[in-house]
Amino acid sequence: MADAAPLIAIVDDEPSVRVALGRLCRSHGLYAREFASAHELVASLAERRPDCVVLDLQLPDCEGLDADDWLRQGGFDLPLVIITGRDDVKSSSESVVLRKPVDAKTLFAAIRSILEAP
Amino acid sequence: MASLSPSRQVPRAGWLIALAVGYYLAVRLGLSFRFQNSMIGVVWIANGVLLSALLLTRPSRWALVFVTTALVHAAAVLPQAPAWRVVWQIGINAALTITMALILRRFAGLPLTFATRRQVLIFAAAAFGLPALFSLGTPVVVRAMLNLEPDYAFLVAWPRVALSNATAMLLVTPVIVLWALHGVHPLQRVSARRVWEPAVILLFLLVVGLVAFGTGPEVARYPALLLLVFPPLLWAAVRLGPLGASTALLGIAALSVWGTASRLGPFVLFSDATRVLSLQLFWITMSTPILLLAAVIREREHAEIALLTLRQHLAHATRVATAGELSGALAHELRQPLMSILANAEAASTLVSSGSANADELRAILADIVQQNRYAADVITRLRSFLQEREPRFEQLVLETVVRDALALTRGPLDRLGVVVNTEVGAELPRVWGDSVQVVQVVLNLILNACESMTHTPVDERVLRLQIARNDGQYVELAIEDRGDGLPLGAEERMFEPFFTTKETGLGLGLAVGRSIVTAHGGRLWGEDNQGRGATFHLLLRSIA
Repeated sequence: MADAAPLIAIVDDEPSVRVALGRLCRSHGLYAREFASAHELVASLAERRPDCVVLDLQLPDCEGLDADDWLRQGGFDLPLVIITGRDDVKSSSESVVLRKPVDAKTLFAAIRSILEAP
Repeated sequence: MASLSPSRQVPRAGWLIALAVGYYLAVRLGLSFRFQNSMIGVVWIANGVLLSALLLTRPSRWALVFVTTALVHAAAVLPQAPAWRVVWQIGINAALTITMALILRRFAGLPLTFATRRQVLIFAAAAFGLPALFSLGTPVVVRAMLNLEPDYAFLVAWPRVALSNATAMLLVTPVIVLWALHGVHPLQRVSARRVWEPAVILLFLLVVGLVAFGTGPEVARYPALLLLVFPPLLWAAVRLGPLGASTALLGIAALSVWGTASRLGPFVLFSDATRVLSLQLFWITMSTPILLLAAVIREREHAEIALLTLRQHLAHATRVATAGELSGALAHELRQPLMSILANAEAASTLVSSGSANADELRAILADIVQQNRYAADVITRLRSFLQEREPRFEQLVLETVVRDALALTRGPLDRLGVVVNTEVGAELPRVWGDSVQVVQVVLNLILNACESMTHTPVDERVLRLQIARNDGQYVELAIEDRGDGLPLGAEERMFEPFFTTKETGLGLGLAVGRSIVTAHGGRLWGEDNQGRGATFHLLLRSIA
């Protein structure tokens, strides 16, 4: 089981949020890795593909695109849970959008729904 | 505005005693201000005192004022004058002062502060016109009319009685009313640093008055000596307001009476009758313009204060509007630490209940929670202080700190656009004079404008360069350079006009208010186009010595 534990990628440019979310996932027995940007995440894909990406929408290095659009246009097709502090985020059909601050119950419900999806 | 608050009102008994004593002294002084061969006084101070008492009390107490002054009046003059004449005189004085008090209440408005042209002009007109009318009813004038006064023809008696009342009201009443309204507060309020000015004016007045009125008749052959009194009087009117001006006038008048009575000064050259008349005319022609000047200055000061208050309200209103524009970004900025605190706390809670808690990890989690909490509190404090409306408070500021505060408040829009901020701070910069909230407002507005102008700029070129440097010793300069759209042709000056805007939202007040703030700081604010490479705004603030 242990080596097959699903990988959660946490992408947030705010170190305190990134670290806290990583801790939260690990405390619940999930395997989590943290990335400061969508570019870093993409660079790591060759190593291992995450089973779920928890993505902060406000990332500065996506050439004017929101990070989820950027990932989608890059054709990476990753399962996303989007968390955002912004009020004006439209919910795109494929992704779950959660508003910060997100409690553990809501976050893990979203992650679980992705991990358990066929 | 000065007004008699109940707590500052002298108790009734004390007030009446003061009135009785003051009125008695005024009657005795008035009786003694008579030159040889003259029955009629130069200035009938008692009516000035009586009028002041009416102006300072409610009409319901006027009966008490009249009874007190009538008794004092009778006691002071009865030995020398027949009773019928005293009663007649008291009656006509009451009629004059009550009419005048009613007219002033109705048309000039109470409290009489002599701080508006309207009050001074109405007061002067009433103080000149009503005595002329009511003198026609005084015993000496009526009897002169009927050829019952051996010493006076009607045309001599009437103007003298009228002028002696008019000068008393013009000279004495403003002083009593104003000192009663202000109390000794103006004296207590004067700081040690500023006490020199009233002191110098007082000394100046004394010296000039003594030279003009205290030198022998030989020197006084030069009527131009009288002009000497104008500089200190004008100075008092301009700098010390109605209270100082009226007090200075009364002081000069007292000196001139003293000089003339001691047969010194310019007025002794005339015969007795002309001497009195010219003294009175001298006071009357001097007092109204001086009081008017003090009122005009006061009006201008009030207008300036009103303008300052208005500017302060406008600056605050635009801050509130800016905060409204920033509210989304600020909400985001608070959600980050809240997210971190919540996730950390839930992680710790899970670790503790599962029994896998490790002391080091818990300590790290708690430290993060504390730190994020402080961060959120800072965001709120910064916003609160930005939004508060208070009197401008000038203090020594480190411009770099101001810039950091403005950057912290605009972190939302800067992050969202991915703007790279380069701050360059010169070495050993002096501090600047300013109100921290208002200077933050100006800088913040410039940063937001720069952000907005870079929305069309490619992401990797969105650079904001902030340079703080010394500018020729007197100023510290902040230059804010963006890589945005630049300035529209010919907008360099027009963009500082109110309601000029190139944005879709916003009132177009930011730069106008910014410039008015900077101007009030004695600094400069201007912007220039960088020929296809954005715009640069320059803010100069006065450095500390």
